[in-house]
Amino acid sequence: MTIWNIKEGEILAVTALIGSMCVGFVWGWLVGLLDGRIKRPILDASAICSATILLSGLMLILSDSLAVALFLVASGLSLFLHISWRKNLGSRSDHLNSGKR
Amino acid sequence: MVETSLIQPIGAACFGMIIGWYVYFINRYRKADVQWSDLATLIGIIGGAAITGLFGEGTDLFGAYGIGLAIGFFGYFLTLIILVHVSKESFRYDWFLDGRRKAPAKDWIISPGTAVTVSPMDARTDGTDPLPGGR
Repeated sequence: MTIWNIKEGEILAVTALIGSMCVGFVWGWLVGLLDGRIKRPILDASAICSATILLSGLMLILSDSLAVALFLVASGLSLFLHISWRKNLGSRSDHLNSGKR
Repeated sequence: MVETSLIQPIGAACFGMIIGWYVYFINRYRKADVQWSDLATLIGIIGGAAITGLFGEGTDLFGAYGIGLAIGFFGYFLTLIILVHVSKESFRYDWFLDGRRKAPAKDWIISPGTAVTVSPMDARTDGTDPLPGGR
């Protein structure tokens, strides 16, 4: 099956899958904001995991298990990219490295 | 999958764009540290009862909403990156970390009441203001 000969129903399914992935990207990026600010690791991690499970459940209800998988992969990727980017910015920042805040 | 007319997914995507833009906006102007209630709010925005009620199960509307959400959210972020890049000297990449920027020149003012960006990308946790004299 190529992108050119998929049927209309399949286009709808593809939209749902891409949408789930996009929500995952947003969710992962937002979770990345907590990086370096977690004060109660177990409690905070369980809150994030619960929220992620809730959203995964939503994907399952509105789409299918493939959408859940894509959501989780996209979340993880986005989280990784966000944290890497922030670490990269921090390492390039003169005033943060020299301790002069 | 239930088929919908073309205008419905377009509308859902546009709605998602506004919500995504607004989520980044709220986060940028958030004054306190990230709270648990923020997570609850975000879940409500991204996939709360209102959203699931609006976009029925078995349609592509939630997918279109998700695509719009990401476009709006990362569109805001991309706009910030472009503006910081274009500003050359006034803002540098440090601004994304702690809001650091150049103080306005002597003949420039920032009008009282202008919204203060506390968390361009990330909130400061030590409560310090990197600029002398505030802002």
